[in-house]
Amino acid sequence: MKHSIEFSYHIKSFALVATIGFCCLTGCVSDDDVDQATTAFVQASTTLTAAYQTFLLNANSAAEDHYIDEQTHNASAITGKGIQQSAKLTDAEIKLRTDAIKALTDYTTALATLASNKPAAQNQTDAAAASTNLTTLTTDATSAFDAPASGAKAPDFAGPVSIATTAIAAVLKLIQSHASASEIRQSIRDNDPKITPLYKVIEKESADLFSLQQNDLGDTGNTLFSAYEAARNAKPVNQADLLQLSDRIKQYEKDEAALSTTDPTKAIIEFEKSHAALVKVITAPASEKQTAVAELIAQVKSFVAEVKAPSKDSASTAQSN
Amino acid sequence: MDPEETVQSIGDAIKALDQQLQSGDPPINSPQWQQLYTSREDLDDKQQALVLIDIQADDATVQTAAATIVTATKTLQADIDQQGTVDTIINDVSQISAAADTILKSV
Repeated sequence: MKHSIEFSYHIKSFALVATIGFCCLTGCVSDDDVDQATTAFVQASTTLTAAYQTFLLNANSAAEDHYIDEQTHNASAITGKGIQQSAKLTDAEIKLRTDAIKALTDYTTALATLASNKPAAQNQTDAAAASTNLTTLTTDATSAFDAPASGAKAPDFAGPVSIATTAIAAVLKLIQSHASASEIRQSIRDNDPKITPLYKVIEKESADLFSLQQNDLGDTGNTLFSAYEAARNAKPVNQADLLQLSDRIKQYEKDEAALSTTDPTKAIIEFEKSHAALVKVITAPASEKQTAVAELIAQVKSFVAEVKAPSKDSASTAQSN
Repeated sequence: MDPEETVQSIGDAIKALDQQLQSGDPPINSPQWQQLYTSREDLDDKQQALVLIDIQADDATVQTAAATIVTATKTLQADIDQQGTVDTIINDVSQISAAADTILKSV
């Protein structure tokens, strides 16, 4: 196979290329397939970041709209405070989570650059970008954990964020200081497992928030069916009310179908698996490199298949119309 | 089952209840419908409370309660599919709710 021959050739060239920089972190596997896989990985990671942020914002919108609908149905007062309290996350909590996924994305982009044997300058550029977002995450996390905002609505990410940021910073520091390939590889081996708890907490919260969002929408459905039934039995019947409610029910049915496509949890899990596959390509001994590359290519395909572009407010249309 | 998946399991139960509530059987806004809806709201409250706690996955009591939630949710789904009585469905929901209380009290 052509790629096997190329792979073998690059392995033999490892010692030579290692002397001119750390572009050999992957054992000089530099065929087009690796490049395509890492490019697809970076693109999918960027899309995931946007989809995740939209998902968090929609979780709030859905909860706020549900509150308004419930108050309306019970002829109760609607207040700004009530709307604020119904949101699932505070603005600071959403920012922290978005920062965290951005930091993970940029770190894995830096790893992908290493894995695809891009020029050293590109490694530096990507590592610098990752460092910048990591600093943002660290700053926001410090202020969030030192002085928790009143009305915090979710368990904090304190432990996982602080362990992950320290681990990522250690790897990026070596890349930026032009450390040797073996030093960087060892640092990745030592530090990368420390990032896992952050992935896990994001995955769990994402699944929980999706479930809550689904329940908010479901309850809006209950309210609409109940309101329609009451309007239908009213004497005299108000046709305008019935038409308005039936329009809401139609939109509710559409939104219920659309909501099922907005859960980012599976994509985040595949993102984590791709990250692990990428690390394996970088850290595997030469004899296992080819297998690691094949696993990376297969894993990135699974990741790309799970990532869906964000569709703003898709979940809350029925509730807000 | 991983106790950390408790929230999603209760979500499945609520989704099944919503489908029942919107099915027209029992008639919408009837006393039986209101009974089911009250049970649904109780589960909703418990689920939201569970999201906010750090579930002690290693605790044997929590593990037992989490297993009860999964089993009772499956029974609930089966009873709804087989057009079980409202009393049967409410009994299933009560088991889920009691197990959720056990987890909430463990922290």
